[in-house]
Amino acid sequence: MNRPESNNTLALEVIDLCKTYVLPRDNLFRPARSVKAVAGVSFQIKAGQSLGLVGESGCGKSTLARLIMGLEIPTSGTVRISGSDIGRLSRKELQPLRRKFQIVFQDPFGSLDPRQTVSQIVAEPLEALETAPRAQIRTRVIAALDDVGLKNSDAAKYPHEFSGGQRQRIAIARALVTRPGLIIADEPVSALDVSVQAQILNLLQDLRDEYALTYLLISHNLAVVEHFCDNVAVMHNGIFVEYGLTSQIFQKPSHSYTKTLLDAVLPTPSHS
Amino acid sequence: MTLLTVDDLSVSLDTAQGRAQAVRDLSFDLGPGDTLGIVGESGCGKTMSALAILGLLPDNAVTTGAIRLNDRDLLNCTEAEWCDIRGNQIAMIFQEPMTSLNPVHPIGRQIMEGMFLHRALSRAQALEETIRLLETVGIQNAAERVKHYPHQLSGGQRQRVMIAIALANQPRLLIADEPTTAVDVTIQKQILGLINKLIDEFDMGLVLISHDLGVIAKLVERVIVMYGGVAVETGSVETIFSDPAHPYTCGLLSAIPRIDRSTHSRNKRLPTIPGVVPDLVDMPAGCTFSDRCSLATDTCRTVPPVPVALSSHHQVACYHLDRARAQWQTGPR
Amino acid sequence: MSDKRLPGNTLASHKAGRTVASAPASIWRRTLEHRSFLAGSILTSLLAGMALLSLFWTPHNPTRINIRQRLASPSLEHWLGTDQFGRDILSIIMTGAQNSIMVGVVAVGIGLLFGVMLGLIAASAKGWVEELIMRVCDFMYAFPVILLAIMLVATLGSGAINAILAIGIFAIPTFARLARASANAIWSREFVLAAQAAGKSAIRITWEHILPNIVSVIVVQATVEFALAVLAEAALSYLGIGSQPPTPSWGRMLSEVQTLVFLNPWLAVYPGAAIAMTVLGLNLLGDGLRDVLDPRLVYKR
Repeated sequence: MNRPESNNTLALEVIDLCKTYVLPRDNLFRPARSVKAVAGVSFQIKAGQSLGLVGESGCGKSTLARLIMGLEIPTSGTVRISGSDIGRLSRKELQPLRRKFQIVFQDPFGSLDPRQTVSQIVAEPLEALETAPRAQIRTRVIAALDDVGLKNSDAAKYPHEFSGGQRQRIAIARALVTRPGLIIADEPVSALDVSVQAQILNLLQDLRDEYALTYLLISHNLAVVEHFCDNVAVMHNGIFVEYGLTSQIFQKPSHSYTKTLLDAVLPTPSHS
Repeated sequence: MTLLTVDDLSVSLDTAQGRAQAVRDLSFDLGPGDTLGIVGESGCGKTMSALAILGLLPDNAVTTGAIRLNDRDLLNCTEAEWCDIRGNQIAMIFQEPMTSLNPVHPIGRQIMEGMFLHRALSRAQALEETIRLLETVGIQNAAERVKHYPHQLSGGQRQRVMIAIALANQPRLLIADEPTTAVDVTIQKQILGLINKLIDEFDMGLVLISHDLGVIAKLVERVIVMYGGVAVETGSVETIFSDPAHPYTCGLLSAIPRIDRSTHSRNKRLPTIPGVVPDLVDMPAGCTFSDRCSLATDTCRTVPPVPVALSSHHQVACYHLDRARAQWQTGPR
Repeated sequence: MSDKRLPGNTLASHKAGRTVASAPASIWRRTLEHRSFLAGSILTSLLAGMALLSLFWTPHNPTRINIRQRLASPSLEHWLGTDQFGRDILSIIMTGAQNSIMVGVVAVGIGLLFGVMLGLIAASAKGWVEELIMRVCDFMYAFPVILLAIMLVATLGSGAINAILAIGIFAIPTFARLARASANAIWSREFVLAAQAAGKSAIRITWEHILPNIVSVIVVQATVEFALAVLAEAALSYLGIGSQPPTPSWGRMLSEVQTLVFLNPWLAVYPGAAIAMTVLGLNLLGDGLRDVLDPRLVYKR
């Protein structure tokens, strides 16, 4: 484990974040119901560390990811990335900050535009910033593809020419191209075959070591989170029911829901 | 007497890109009440094998070999004969409960449909049995739920309804294709427990298809590991997990992150199998795994290995199984 | 140090995924396999060829009246015979194609341009903007095209231009609805979310991601609308409010021939057949295009 010195700056700080959705009215005479997708979440991730977020479907983890990425506006609460409160900024002000945080999605087939070439896809975050000249964009794209183990010749191809694992690599290259400090990975390996999962996890690990990246890894697979993350948060019904060091939580869970989750994980018989 | 016999089953598909060999020379036996798991990653042929057993292969598929259910030849059945077998003697559970249930019919009707097709029952009798079936699969308030539509149920409940539909006519053989991949881990535990209980209660044979080794270990006694359409290793669950002898099986077992209750392995790189699964149209001439195998030699690449019986319960198709076995015993994990 | 690269990369990555033949080559192959597309293309090319040729040459001048040779049967000089004024029918049919094509292109062009734009705006703006645009389209849909044309003609006068305008305006809601529905489907895809996460504005996303992904659907609809435009123009000309004499028009031929049909029934068949074949060809083309364009986007394992 040869990670660079992680200083004590906070890459991500979330304070009492809430998001409530109002459902369409089903009765003219009664007020519309609302659903609390995220009901008061607070946590911090230090630069260079990884936080794993586990929970089952409907717990609010995807909503949380979107709030942190600034894709949705929170009902209340604060999200601070590298010290800047992203909720306070207008779209124009937020734009240059976006280079510091990127996201990798779950579905390697849906997260790439089938009509664009790999180089267009990977260059997108840079082009959105509108600051870098064309030649520089090209260099950065090639460097990003190299980082994820793809070749220069892959840049001109289309997504359908690649396998699921390779497409996820393209998605990771896209997340790397602006040299962010924080990467949010929303179920990055769930849609992949087991042997490919291992390759991608190793890749994410190597990148973390090389670039001192901070990760927020969202997964329903506890084993992946346990393997990869320093800290873990267990989410249920919009709140964190447990949050702390991975080793502690997995060995001595205190909340009953965490215990239920761990209990349900099927052991793969190991040889010994 | 064996319930299901599969003999040298081969399925090839005529695609625009050429001929794809989806399954090659697959053979196994299943007795009544036996459980068998087929494990592999995408493109290994496991779903095609299941569809072949049910006669549901696409039109461009060419099948050779033999499949026999209680000595009845399945490959040469007419459509009419198939209608008698499907849902009656062989039933299947699919992966996606939302798309496998008809959203515009109440669940009770979907369960009773199968009953009316194969048995002479009155409406009242069928309804009674349906309610009983729903209770057996663990749906509360069954008498009320019978009238509900799929969208009114949760994912786990829909999967239970699928199981109820499959069991409506007490089939001899149940084929489950990734039954818990689409549900949460806590629901998964319940569903697997349910399937376990039911195959004991109804004394059914089970063919379970999954890419998840944990699921396999929990439900079945025997395992076939498939790669590129070929059964590379066959054996009991204990043997496969403690003494794998095929390089692919070893690689697969090593690549899975596990919850080790110690910090020993955290942040160490996972051992991986280099490369990717080949396109079915472009398979190597010899062993299907040869272009990714660290032990591969020229023979491996040109001549497909014949399965070797290591014991009565353990078969491996590999020229270098001794080295693979030795590596596993001394290696990581 | 790290095996980030896939060892044996070249071999493995070529075998993995699918080595698809370059897009144009596989489209060409599929074209030849698809009979509707082939038949539609041939018929449509025939129409276009006829119109193009008639710009430079027709067997006879289509507007030249020759009473002495009126209602002649087909002969070597006049392949399809002559009409009640002695004009060569073949020449009129060929020149009439020009009219139909022009109406089709301009009307569909108007509908496509404004309709797609409105649809894309509706899909990206959502909320009350979307509702407003869609209700306006519903409103326009409530009027049958002939009625709309008559209204326009009553206000602006007869003529080909007004007929085109009417047909074009009528096509706008069709394209708007289609564009909006397709665009909505694309907006919910994850790669659009990725573009939003990169910070791209809705306008850029619409131009760079949404539009290229709905093009095939729009193109197919355009061929269908073309056929409808040809039919609508014929109907309007038949009623006398489309293109005015002496501009040759298939629809007007049909109306002029009503009283003569007992003298020479073939006079009605020629323009009718021309209209029918054009519409058939365009529909087949649209059908075939739908199948030929879509498989490129579908990745099956």
